[in-house]
Amino acid sequence: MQLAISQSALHLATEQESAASLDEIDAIVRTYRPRLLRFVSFSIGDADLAESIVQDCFLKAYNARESFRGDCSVSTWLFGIANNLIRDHLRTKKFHFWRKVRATAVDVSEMAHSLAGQERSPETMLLQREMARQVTESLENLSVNQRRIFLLRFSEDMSPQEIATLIDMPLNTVKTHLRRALTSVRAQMGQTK
Amino acid sequence: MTTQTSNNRNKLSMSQQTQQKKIQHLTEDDLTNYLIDPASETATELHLAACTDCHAKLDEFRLSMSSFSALSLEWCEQRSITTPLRPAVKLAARSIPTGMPGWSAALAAALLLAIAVPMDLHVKSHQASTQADAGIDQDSDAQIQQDNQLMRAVSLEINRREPSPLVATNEPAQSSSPAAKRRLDVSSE
Repeated sequence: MQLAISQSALHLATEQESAASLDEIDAIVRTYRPRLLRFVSFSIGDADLAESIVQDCFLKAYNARESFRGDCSVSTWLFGIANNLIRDHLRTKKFHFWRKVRATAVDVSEMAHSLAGQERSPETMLLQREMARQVTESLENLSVNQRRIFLLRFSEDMSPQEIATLIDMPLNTVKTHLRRALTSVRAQMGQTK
Repeated sequence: MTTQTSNNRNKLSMSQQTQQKKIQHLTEDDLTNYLIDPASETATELHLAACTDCHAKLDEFRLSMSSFSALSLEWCEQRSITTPLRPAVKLAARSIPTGMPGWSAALAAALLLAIAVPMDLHVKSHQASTQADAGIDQDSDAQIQQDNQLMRAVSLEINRREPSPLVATNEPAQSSSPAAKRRLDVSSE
């Protein structure tokens, strides 16, 4: 009798533990999907393709979950997968074809609509929208490599060393890309004299 | 008097030098290097702490980037809400990254077996019966002999208990096949 009770208690505990981990996993997807989408969207300049890549990223993460040993954060791990997927897409001819044909660039005015429900003054919203537009436009003039590295540094707040590890590139090369990208972006935004 | 004047001149030139030093703002390269890796630019950091002009430049860029980051993230959050995940991703999302626990893998395997084994048995038995049906020749001599014996037995049984006018109607309908004809001959005997 006691054995039966302890067995049922163990079963309940296992179920609760599993449910907790599932909740956590859902939270991971909820937390990282927008950030991954931003990184991929502005790296490749195509929102629809970015959505597809992000979903592929979660599938790849699922398939490679055994290889995740906790050496890095989940964030770094997911961004690494997304980065590899971007690189793979860039290599395909199909990507270059659709890029020419569709050119579904990220629409800044569409981005501004998401602010409508927020509690911000019209002036603040206008200013934010203008600054975001400037950055978005200046990003379009960078190479995909420069964009990826720039976004990882200034949107994801990763250090140059972290970026170098993530994209498997020498630190000095990362810094060179960053220097060129930053100079170009600041010049286009009129922040250099 | 002359000494005092020269002292004043010296003081003036020193303050001018100090002012010039202060006016020596950071170059674009300095700012760029600081933005790339603040930790390795301690001299720039010291200057920024004292120079409001250079700090304003830095703030200008940081404000632009924070606006872009906030706005683009909100946009992506909206898209994530409105764009559903593909079913395969939904399924995968329930198992990232801890992996499938042993008990759930076993449960999945058991369910699969529970569904697959009866289906397999059903298919096999169906195949066996079909093969058996196909293997027996309905019109073989042995089969006809067996049918005739059965018919005779039935006729005998009916005639013995209760002679009925319906016996005539029990005769099989006419058929074009030779086997059917032979059966007909036997029953009319």
